[in-house]
Amino acid sequence: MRGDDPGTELLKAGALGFSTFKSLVRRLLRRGAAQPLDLAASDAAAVARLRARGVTIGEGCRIYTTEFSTEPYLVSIGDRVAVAGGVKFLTHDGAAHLLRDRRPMLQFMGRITVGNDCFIGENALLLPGTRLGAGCIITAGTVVMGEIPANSVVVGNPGRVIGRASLLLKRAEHGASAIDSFGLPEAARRQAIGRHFTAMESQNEP
Amino acid sequence: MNPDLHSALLETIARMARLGPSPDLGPDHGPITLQTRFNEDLGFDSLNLVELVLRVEQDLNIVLSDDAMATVHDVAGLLAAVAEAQRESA
Repeated sequence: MRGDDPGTELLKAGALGFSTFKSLVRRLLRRGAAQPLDLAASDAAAVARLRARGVTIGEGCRIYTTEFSTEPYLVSIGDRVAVAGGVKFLTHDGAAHLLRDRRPMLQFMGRITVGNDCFIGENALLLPGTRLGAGCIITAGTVVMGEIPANSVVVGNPGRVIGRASLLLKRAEHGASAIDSFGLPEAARRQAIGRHFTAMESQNEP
Repeated sequence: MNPDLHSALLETIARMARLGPSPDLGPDHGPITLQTRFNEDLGFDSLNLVELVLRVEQDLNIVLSDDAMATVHDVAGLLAAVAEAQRESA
């Protein structure tokens, strides 16, 4: 185990008990931030856990939520999809509770399908029956329902299509917040980000 | 550009400025001119720009390419992109 990257070490510690886990955390903190987490390994492990629960997930996905409701097998996610933290996939409508006095076994269910190359932002909520076309961007906090055409940006509650994802990405790529820092060791990444904002703020000074 | 089309485009921008990004913006942000900048003068962010493009396309029944719109930052730039789109569709 010594010599593994921090991410892999933590994943393995999950099977070894809490005292071993604490020991590993202390060792990682002493090692400091020089070594990057193995994102690929932790992403793959997260996807594997979700597949074991019944979620269909394509290749190359990064899924940072575990909230797939009580019917995770009703959720299907394509290839190269990124799902941010706090996102909820709701596969049933709990309002059926209100009819159970006369229909005790009633439930309202809906599949959720996410096309290839989508991004679902922080704390978005996908309601039963949601179908996202390929290449969609769902902004943070959006409540998504129904059929969303490919290449859509969806905003708000209820979610509405406000334009093309391809245009949003093209503008963002040349925008002030774009920095080439992904994948750098954390110390170097922090430096690159700091330099970027220092340069930008210098340009904006009167 | 057809003057009616020019007016329609400015009205689309103005309507969105009244509806959108800043509750303080309101109808008193001043007249919209060719020099009006979407971000600095109207407070539009990237999402507002994307929505503006969709509204312009729907209102004027045209398609604006992503490449043409990627770096537009003011009304003059948008007008030029609309004029180019119309030439290409003619």
